[in-house]
Amino acid sequence: MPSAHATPNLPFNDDEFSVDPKDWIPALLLQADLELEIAEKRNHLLRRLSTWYSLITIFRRLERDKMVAVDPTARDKKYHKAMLEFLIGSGSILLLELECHKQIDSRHIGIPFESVVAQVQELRDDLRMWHGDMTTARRAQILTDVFGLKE
Amino acid sequence: MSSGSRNEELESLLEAKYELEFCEDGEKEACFKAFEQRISGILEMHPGISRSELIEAIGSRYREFKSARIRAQRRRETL
Repeated sequence: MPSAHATPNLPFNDDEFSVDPKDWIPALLLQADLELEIAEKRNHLLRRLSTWYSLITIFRRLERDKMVAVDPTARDKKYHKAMLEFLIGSGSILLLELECHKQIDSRHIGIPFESVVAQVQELRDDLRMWHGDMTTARRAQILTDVFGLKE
Repeated sequence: MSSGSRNEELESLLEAKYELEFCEDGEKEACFKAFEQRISGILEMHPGISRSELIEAIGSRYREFKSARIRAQRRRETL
């Protein structure tokens, strides 16, 4: 019989986190929950969409506190990028499934389909804004040409 | 076009991005359209620049913009 304190099946090695602050763990737990649901292909599309939005809310709060309000550490940057990529990937899958299940109307949870499309695009833009690999020279050229600015 | 008005164009673009990020879920579609309109207007004037390049180029400016807004909001909350 499993112990009441059995270790949850997390997508990371628990040892890695024993000395680290617990800041990202709530988001990772929610991510693990969402990944499990996708893997099992359960037909709870609207619930998963709602969970995805909850994860975005948590992600934005962490982003504000760890990436915007203070200078992010290398670790924060890595988790920020990984979480953004996960949100984009899972959001894209949700969009595909919403398209396939026309009888499921995301408006039932107050979110039009087009808003989900916009949300995924916004996350893609954020990934570019935060973690793109544009050269300094090209960035400076665009800012000068378009806005008359010097970097 | 003067650099002053071009700076205003950047400010407007950053403002539209901020509104898109912080709007209510029900307003997301409208805010997204407003942001895309600004992006499209700029790209029409600069055909040598792609949408993704423009987005990436303003990234650091947007972070500064957002950081200033959040700090100002926190100051107001502590008063």
